[in-house]
Order: sequence, then structure tokens, then C-alpha cells
Amino acid sequence: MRIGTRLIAVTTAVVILVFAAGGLRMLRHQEGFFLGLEQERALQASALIRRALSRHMLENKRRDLEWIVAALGGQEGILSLSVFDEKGRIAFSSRPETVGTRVGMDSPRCAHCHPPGRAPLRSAGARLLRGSNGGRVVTVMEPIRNEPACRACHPRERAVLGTLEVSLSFAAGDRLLAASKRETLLLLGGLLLAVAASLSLFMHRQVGLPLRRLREATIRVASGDFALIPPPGGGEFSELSSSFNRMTRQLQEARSRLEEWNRLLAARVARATEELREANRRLRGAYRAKSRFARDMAHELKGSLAAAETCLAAVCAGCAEDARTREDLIRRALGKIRALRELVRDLLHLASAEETGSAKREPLSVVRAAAHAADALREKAWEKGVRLETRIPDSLPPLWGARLDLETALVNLLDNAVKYSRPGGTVLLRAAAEGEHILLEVIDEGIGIPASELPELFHEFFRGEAARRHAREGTGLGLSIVRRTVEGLGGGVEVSSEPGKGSRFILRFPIGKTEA
Amino acid sequence: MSQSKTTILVIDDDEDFAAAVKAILEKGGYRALCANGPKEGFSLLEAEAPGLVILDMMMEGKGAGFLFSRAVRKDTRYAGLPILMLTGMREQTGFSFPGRDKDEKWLPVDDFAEKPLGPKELLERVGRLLRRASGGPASES
Repeated sequence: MRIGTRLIAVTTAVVILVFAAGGLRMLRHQEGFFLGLEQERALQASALIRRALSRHMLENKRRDLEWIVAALGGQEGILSLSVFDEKGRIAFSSRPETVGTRVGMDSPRCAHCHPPGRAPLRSAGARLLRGSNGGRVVTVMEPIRNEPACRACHPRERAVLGTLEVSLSFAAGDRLLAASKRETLLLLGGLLLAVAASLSLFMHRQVGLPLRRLREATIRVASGDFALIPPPGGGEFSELSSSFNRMTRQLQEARSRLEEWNRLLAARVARATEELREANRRLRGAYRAKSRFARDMAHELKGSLAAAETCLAAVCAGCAEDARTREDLIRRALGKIRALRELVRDLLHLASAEETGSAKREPLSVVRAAAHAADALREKAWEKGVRLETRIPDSLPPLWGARLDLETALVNLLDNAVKYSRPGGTVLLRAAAEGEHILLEVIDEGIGIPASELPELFHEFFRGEAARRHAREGTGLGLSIVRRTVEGLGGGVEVSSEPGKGSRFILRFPIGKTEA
Repeated sequence: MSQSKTTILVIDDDEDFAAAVKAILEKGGYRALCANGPKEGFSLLEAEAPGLVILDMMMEGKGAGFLFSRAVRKDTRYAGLPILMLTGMREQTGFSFPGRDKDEKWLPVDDFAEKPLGPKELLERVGRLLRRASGGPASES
């Protein structure tokens, strides 16, 4: 049951109780009033009759007394009229059949004024009794006393001449009371209905309606609709509505913030997922590259070993009968073994270039590294008839890195430049500071590289077709070593070339890339 | 070894390996010619009409031997020319070659062997292929 209905029910019950109590009290009061009036009337009638009888009793006029009793007893409203003598016998009565009947002192009629063991009451007033026909009866009993003058001659025991009993019907009073009760009940019922209806209406408007609006609003808010409710006229419900609206606004703001935060979080998660996917992709790529590298390396090693083994096996099997062929095969086997040694050396260089990131770093003189690298290739260049020139300034800002890394890169580039140059050609090693960078260039006038081979040039074990034709020796790892070493030093490598005319490799290092 | 001087063409970009194979073949009584790539191989094929080709699978850093064998099989002039393919590829790719009978189109060669191949085994394989090509008993034992 809703609270509005409960309030109305409780209030109506209280009103009914109050009205019922009030109505009962009013009816009782009314009845008492009517009874009082009737009793008063009975006493007055009794006094009047007593006075009329007492005179005739003093004179002992028996016939007059009988006539008076019969006449008065027949009056409307008087049910009976009796006179008892001192022995309790009915001497006169409006009902002649009862004359001579004796009523004992212990009967209720007598006991009222003569309580057992006590002195008789002087006046007991009127009594309300239930009559033989069920109706109510007002009865008055009082003694008819001797005149004071008579007491001079008559003894004290004759102070009372007899006892008068008058019974009046209360039927008229009862009828009046019943009518009055009906009217009162009707009036009370009407009043009760009106008050209950007014209260219900008042409760409904003041409590039920605002509560219902609040309840509906809470359901709306719970379902995500943050519409505000109009505040009722005033009072506590108005304050409650205002508080509720304030809470709704705060909820709406909190939800907006939460949604915004959710969007941010989702975006962040999506970004992180994408980064993770990208990292995973790179990792897979790196793993595939490693596997490919291992396969290529095994192929190179196996190829050289197979050639050397076949050459030596041919010699051992006596396949080369003349000394020249025998020597040629042994020389070829030796060449393969040397190539294997170079391959192993380059593999070590490559591995160390990969580990540059974790190697000890120190200030590194570009001038000294360039000079050392040029010196390392001078003899080879001279043997081939290639001129090796250097243009290196006296001083350049230092780089940070492992001591031998830059030398390794430069030696590899110069070695290639000499290898793929024709006799009489020139190889130039040039170093310069340019803006924010140090540039190191190795320029040759050799066979050059076709544009189609440039994208693969720095891949492990890649050797161009023209390169293989021009120089049989070579591991295909030199330029990979150059790239990894230069990147390990924080720089980059670029190449430009024209087939038949020569190539130019540029190493570019940012100045001031120092250790933190 | 009483064969007449059959010409065998060795196509391999590893000149040292080719020279060793040439010495072995010459000892076996054959005339051996070396080509260091498919291009030179084709010109010698046309000019010298060899009785057998020994072919390296991986040349020019790629599978040029594959392409060479397929090109030869398409050319009706060289119908019945036996091809022995040599390779170190098994380690590189990690797969085994399907047999000739199983996939003629994929690898249209008559026999294949892994490098290095001993002189005795090389000569045995060459002899077997030549006997089969000339319609003689191709002993598989």
C-alpha cells in the first residue's frame, strides 16, 4: 500500500475514533439530561400527590383517598400509584387488584430506601427501572409524614402515615432520545464523510501527488533520463524536489564525466592495442629477418664448404692428373677457405654492430677514425692502381660511440670503393661539418650500381650482378655492417650511383648527440 | 669408362665448384664445359649440344636454376636432354623436393642431388642418366 493511501487510511481511522467518542459522549449527556428532567417531573408529581393524600390521611377519609388514588393513577403518563401502610401492605392503589398485598422489607422496592442493617434514607429520589413490558419506568417512593402539630398527641412511632410509590412511564423520553440519537448519528456520519473526504483530498495533494512525482522522477533518472521535476508550491516537498533536482544535475554531470572518461580510456586502449600490434608486427618481421639471415648465412657457408670439399675430393680421387689442374683446384679450395674466414669475420662485425647500443660509449675523433681507415686501405689501393685521396679538416666535433665502429664502417666503404674501381680510378674520402651534421663521404669512379639494386643494397648477403661479375670475392655483408654501425652511432647512410660512372656513399651524423 | 666423349654442360655461378666438377667429369671420360649463369648456359647449350646438363639450382642469389630447367623443358630442340640438378637448398628452405614423377612441372629435372657430391657418386649418377637417355637399362641400384 502506498504511503499516501496509508496516511489517508490512518487519518480517517483517527477521525472516526474521535467522532465516535465525541458522539457517544454527546448521546450519553443528552440521555442524562432527559432523565434528569423526567426524574424532576416525577418528584414534582409525587410531591403534589403526597400533599393531596396527606390531608385526607390525617382526617382518615378512606373513600376520598381511594377516589384520589384512582383518579390520579388514571392520568396519562402515570403507570401506577400505590400507598403502603406502616406494615408494608398496599393500602391504596390505582390497580385495585394489588390492594392488601404485602411487600417484604427485603424486596428491591423497599430495600432501596431501607438498606439492610442501616437507618432508612430520608429521600432516595427518583429511580429508573425496567418495567414489566420492557419499557423504562421512573419510580419515586417517599414517606407521607404526620403534621408536626399532630406529634404532640400522637406517639413518635406514628410520625409516618404511609409510603407513596408513583411510577411514571419513560416511553416519551425514550422516543425523544431515539429520535435525537438518529439525528445525531446522521449528522456525525455526514460530518465524518466530509472531514474524511477533505482530509483525503488534502493528503493527496500535499503528500500523495508530490511523492508520486518524485517516484516517477527517480524511475526516469534510473533509466538515464535526467529531466528535472517542477517543484510543488512550497514546504518540505519543495525543498525535497530542489534537492532531488540538484542531485539529478550532479548525477548528469557525473555521468557525462564518466562517459568522457570512458571515451578517453577506450581511445587510449585502442591506441595501446595498435601500438602493441605494431610492435608485434615489427617483432615478427625482425624474427623473420633473423630466420632469413640464418638461412642465408647457412647457404653461404655451405656453398663455400661444398666447393672447397669438391675441389679437394677431386684432387684426392686423382681427377687432376696434371700438376697445373691439381694446383688450380687446391688454390680454389684455399680461396674458398679464405672467403669463409672473411665471412666469419664479417659475421662477427655484424654481430658487434648490432650490440653497439649496449657497448661502452666514449668521445670519438672523426678525424682520427677517417685517417686510420684511409691508412688501412692505402696498400690495397696502390696494388690495384687506384688513387686514394682524403679531404679531412684538422678538427671536427667529436661523436659518441665505440672506438672502432666508425673505422669499421669507413674501412668497409673504402674497401668496396677500391674493389669496384677500375685501375687508374680515384677514391675520395671527404669529411666536413655541415650545419647540424658531420658528413663523411666515400666517392668512387667505379662500376656503379643499377637503380634496381639500390633498395636491396644494404640487405645481408645481397650482391649485385655487376658486382659479382667484377669481383668474385665478397661476402655480401659489408654494407649491412656499414648501415648497422652507422645507425648504432646515431647516424644514417645514403647512396647515390650511376652505373658505369661511380658511386657516392654519404654518412650523416647529428652534432651534439652526446650521452645524457 | 668406354663412353665416347659425351659433352656435359656444368652451369654454376660458383666457378670453383664448377672447376672441380669439370675435373671430375674429365677424369670420367667426358668433355666438360662450364657456364657461370643461365645466360651463358643457354648459348653453350645451343652451340655445343651437350648430352647432359648439370645445373645449380640457386644462381644469381635466386632460383635461376629452376627457371633454366623449365625453359629447357619448353624448348622442343632439347627434348630428352637429361638434367641433373645440384643444390644446397634443402638447408636453406627446410623442405624436400617432390619426386620427378610426382611433379614434373614443378621441378622438371631427371635427377637431383645435394652439394657436395663425391666424385664416384657424381660419375655414377651421370652415367645412369646418360644410359637412360640413350634407351639403355637405367639401373636404379
